[in-house]
Amino acid sequence: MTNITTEIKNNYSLGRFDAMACPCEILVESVDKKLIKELTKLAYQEAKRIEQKFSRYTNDNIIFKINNSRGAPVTVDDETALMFDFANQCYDLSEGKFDITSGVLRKIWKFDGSDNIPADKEVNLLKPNIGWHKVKWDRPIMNLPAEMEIDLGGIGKEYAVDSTVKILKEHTDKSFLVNFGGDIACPKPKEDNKPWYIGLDDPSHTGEKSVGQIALYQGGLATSGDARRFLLKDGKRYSHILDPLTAYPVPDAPRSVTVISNTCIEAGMLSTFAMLQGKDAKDFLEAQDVKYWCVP
Amino acid sequence: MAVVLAVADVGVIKNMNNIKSNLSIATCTLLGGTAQQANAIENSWDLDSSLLYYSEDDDRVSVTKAMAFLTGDLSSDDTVNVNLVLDTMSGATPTGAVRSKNSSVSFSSASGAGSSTVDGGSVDRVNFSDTRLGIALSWAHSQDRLTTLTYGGSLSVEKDYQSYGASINYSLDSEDRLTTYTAGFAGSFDEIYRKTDGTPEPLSFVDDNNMFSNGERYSYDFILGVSKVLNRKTIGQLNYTISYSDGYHTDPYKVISEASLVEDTDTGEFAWAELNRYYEARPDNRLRHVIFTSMAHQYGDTGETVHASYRFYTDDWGISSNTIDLTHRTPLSAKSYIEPHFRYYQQSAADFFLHSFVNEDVSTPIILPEFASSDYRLDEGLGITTGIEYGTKLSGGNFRARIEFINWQYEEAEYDETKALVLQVSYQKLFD
Repeated sequence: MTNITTEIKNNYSLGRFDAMACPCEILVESVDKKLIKELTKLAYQEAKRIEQKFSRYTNDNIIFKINNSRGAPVTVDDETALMFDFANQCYDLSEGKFDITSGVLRKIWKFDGSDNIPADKEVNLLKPNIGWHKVKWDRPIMNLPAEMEIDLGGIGKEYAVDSTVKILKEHTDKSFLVNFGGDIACPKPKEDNKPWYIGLDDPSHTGEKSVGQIALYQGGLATSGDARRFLLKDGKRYSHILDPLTAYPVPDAPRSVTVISNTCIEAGMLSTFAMLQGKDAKDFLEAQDVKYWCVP
Repeated sequence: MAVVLAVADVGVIKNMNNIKSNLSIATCTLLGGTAQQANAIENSWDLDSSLLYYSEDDDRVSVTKAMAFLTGDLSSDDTVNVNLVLDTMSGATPTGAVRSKNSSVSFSSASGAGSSTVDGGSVDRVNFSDTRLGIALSWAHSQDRLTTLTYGGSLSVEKDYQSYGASINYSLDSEDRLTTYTAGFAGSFDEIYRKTDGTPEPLSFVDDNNMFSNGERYSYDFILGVSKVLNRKTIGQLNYTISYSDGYHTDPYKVISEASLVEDTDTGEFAWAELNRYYEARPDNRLRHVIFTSMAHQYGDTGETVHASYRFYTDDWGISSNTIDLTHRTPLSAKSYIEPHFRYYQQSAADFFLHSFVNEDVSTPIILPEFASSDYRLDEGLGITTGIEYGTKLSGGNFRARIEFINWQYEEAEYDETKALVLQVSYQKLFD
């Protein structure tokens, strides 16, 4: 069946499952067995629902339908429409650097730690297939040119976190924390205004070494980084953050950027935008008036 | 072959400052809810470092103290404190002997064993220098929502003193969290000796140089306390501590003079003349009680705070003391404050405190008591401290500076007045 497990700890409870290709956790400031089971199940259902709906790896969802429309218009539901509206605003805000049509680049950039750098020819071949401005999005109708693809991978997990928070809030007054593979949100502090503690991974020692501990009272936290996803060629490290404007990895991008903001998706966007700034990531973050941790 | 990257000048997002607020609006639309506020801190470690300079007038004791206090959360339930102190002490300290003003007076020894010449005015105080390193660690662990257990350990090392301590403290909050009860136990073991090793035989002649082994002392403290939030702006606290210590309590450096008051025939003034000098002796156990109560109250629109405390101390050596401590903090701005400080301390003398063994009739041997000390710290005394502290918030930390004057008056001790100056600067770094 499912891989859901729940545990009662000293003064909180923990629910775990795998979804969206990552370990997911729900922490609740309660030792009520029934409650943690209920909340974990709800979180699992929501994570799976969003995974099914927006994954590019399945062939029966709206994303598949759009990506295989060969230029024909596709009418989308409200939730998908909201996602496209949001992606559109992110495209504008980032001046074209955050682009949900840039996913096709993964066909040539395989960030597996190898030295397989694509040839300029390959890169140039793909460039015409990238660019949100070429997409005709007229809510609720999406018209995606043939050969182009939409990939919500850069938003989906963060969105799932916030969406899960929204659902769980309707089922409990206790403080809780949703953690989907490092994208985190908690809607309110623990009792007596105590925080949840979050360890930050050292990108060069994933899972072994923590660069610090953050106390999160409430809000969203997300990390962009290239812990294991990079290419190495002639001593140069190519980060997995691709600039859709050049179709090349962003030069001098930090190893990882963690941001705390109001919601998980906001934190996720800010950390991604920061990575896209390359060597100016820190300046960008400074200007945002957010808590951030940048590993250069 | 090196790959040439087509590194275009992609530029930085031009209007960075708008990003977050625009993103918040976009997010809000996406999530269909009201905007939330993020609220986070870094892992809340802070380092309080401070440098204190203490100086007594008349070239007496001066101490430079460097302190570092590191505190941080290991998890939501565990807090750790590390306290480091490095003291450098030097100067001159009274030995307990009388100030023999006139070295020309000589007496026949009471035992008739020969003449004893007063050896001048220098031995009533002795120069010293020492360094003390103190380390204290504590770990507080929240057992559950209302109870916390704190474990502590400490170590202090000097050239002539070592101390090891351990403690455990239990605290319980009431359901409404307005009242906290504490109960604790602390134990310590001290080893006391002279730099040259050993301790002198109590009440032996200094000249005989009879040395015993190092002194050892065990101490046990039990503390019971309650602190209560009386209203939104007032908090009160009451503690009772009982301590028992067993072992060597004597100061291995302190001496007591057998002395006679003699008239200087040139000036007509009376001065002490020392006939003999003995090492002091104190009882080998001590039972102490302390009652401490304090209250902090905030008032006014700007957050002025008055803090008052009273401490009553009594022990079975006959010393009782009363301490009143008052501070008043006035904010100067949102970032800075000024805080005058006043402290009154009064104590009675220990039963065995003596100025000296007075021997008016030089030819008769004196009868020594069981215990005797002329250490001015065991005399009846009054200490008044006045000072002021200034504190301000800087980016990433808090700065404090303090100046204090202390004036001690003793009733009978040979050195019956001490004036001291305290200067302290502190910087508390909040890790960001």
